[in-house]
Amino acid sequence: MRQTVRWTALAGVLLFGMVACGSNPPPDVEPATDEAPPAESPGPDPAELAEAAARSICEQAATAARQGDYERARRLYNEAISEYSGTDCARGAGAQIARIDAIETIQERILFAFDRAELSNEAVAILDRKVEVLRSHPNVQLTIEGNCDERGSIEYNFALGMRRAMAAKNYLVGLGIAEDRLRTVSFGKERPLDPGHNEAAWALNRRDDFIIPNPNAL
Amino acid sequence: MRHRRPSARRAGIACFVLLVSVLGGVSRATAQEGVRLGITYRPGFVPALALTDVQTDAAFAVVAAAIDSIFARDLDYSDRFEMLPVPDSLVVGSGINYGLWNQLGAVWLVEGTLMVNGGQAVLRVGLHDVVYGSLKNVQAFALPPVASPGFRMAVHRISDAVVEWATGEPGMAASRIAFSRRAPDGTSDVYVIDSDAIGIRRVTFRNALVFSPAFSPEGTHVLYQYLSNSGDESAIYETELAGGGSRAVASGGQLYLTPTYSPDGTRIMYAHSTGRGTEIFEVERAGGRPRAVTSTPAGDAVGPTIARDGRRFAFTASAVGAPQIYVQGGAGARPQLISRFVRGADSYATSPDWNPRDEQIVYQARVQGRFQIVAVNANGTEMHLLTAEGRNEDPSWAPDGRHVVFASDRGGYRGLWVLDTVTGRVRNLVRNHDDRLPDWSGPLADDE
Repeated sequence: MRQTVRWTALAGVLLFGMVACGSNPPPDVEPATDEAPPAESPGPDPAELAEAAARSICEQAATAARQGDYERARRLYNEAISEYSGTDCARGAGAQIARIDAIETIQERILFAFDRAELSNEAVAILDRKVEVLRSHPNVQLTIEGNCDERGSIEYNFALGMRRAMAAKNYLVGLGIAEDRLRTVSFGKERPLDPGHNEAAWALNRRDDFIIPNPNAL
Repeated sequence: MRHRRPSARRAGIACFVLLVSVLGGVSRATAQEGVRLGITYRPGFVPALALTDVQTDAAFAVVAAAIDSIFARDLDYSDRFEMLPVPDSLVVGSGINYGLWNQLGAVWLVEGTLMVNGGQAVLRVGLHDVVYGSLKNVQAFALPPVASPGFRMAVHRISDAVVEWATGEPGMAASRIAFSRRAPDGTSDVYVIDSDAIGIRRVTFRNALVFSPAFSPEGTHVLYQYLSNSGDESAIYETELAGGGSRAVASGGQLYLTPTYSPDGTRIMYAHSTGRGTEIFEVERAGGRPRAVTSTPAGDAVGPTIARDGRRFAFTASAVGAPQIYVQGGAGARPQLISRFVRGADSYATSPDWNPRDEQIVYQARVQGRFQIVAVNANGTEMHLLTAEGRNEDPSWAPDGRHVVFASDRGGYRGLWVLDTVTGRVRNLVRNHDDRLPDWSGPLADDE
């Protein structure tokens, strides 16, 4: 997919350049418009061609980020940096990658043992990383959603899910994150991430999800 | 076929005996983990009952046939009688030939006559003690029109009267079961169905996460847990079945769970999650300030069920690290553990329901890795398994105090099932894997 995007962008630039090279426009002429016949259009500004291609990449990256496909978004931004340095897109891409890193850090789920709500060492390490991001982005809110695997009972699992959400919240509050930035909910065993009926699925479903209700604050 | 044949009944008992012997193995196996549970039913003498067709004028034969079929199913589902097939060749005359019925093996004989005067239908029902050759009881019951919504429930109430005449104990035909049904989009709403699996209808239209319905004692209202799809809002609602109007009983703050009424219908208990965990709260049904009645700092307390005396209640709490069943003698009293907790073993017990007629509590417990329904006295004695096949969850007592409805995947497909805890007989109520958390109503008086 990455190759396709790059070649499409480059093809667009080259085509535009070839058409534009057919004439010999003065450097200060306005760029071509739809109304002007190509033969009479001004010549290409390589910088603007690069800007256009890079802008296309950045738009695709932003769309991927909105859709939660952070890996693709990060790849596209990195491509903009390496292939189109100097463009607006490339100059802003570093910040965008940092933003994606922050979102991913905040959203990284933590897992629990069966019928337990205690934080594991791994969960603590994940929460510690969230604290750094939450400190540097003081307007970000966080909804912590506790979930359970299918093996427990329906009603008790709602309470257990809430206990799991509260475990994460209490840890974050203990490290100085304001309580009113954190909201806890429980979906019991009603929202499995993996619908399977095996240990791997259960392990993935015993989790806290971290949702950012106001992603624009990042 | 309207009646079960005695041979079928005998086969059923034979299967039951086989089941008990198979489960002997279950008991021995579980004993190794420190939890000794065995299936115990109390199948005693089951008297044979002959049900004759309701007599009436030809003009009302359709109504009489409808009554016949409801009677036959109700008396069969009561599990109190062996339903005796009545030969088609048998002509029922004006008098009762007790000798003939005795020869056919009947202990009880039920006969009815439908009379219609001035548009009002009256069903006269008699119960005869064939062994003593005497009329045990007879009563005339007014019936609503056959097309009215209350007709079936009125006939169910007559079935229950017959059960009570014969046994001295209440029936459960005139009752309904509420449950939570999951839609394809993942939301759930509350449905109700008659005890004989007729008349299913949806009663909430929240299109959200609606769980744990609980019938009011008079059967006119249902409490339920509401959780919005985003998880943002949670509340306990009470909805009126006839009108459909609803009100929030408790709301604001975090999660609300597992509501239930007191037996007299004046109070409501539910679980509510605060920042310090989930505890059980109580509030007057008429309104007022809720108060916490449990204190489980080391765990959560959910799923209250209130005893007949209205004071004691059972609930699930995870105070020892795993959910177990406790009984508490009122607000603030010290809870007593009544389920079998063995540290280190796979001990997991939830979802208690207190028998409306005695001291038995049913709940679900993990036995050899699967949920089974367990019955135990409120003081923790006489614990025994009620199920062994499949995964069985969320039991709820019928108003007769001997039948239990529960969710199960027995037979390879999930649904709601009814178990007679005396004979061990099981019947399917609803065959739908998205139906969960059943709650059996009390006896229903005049229908809406």
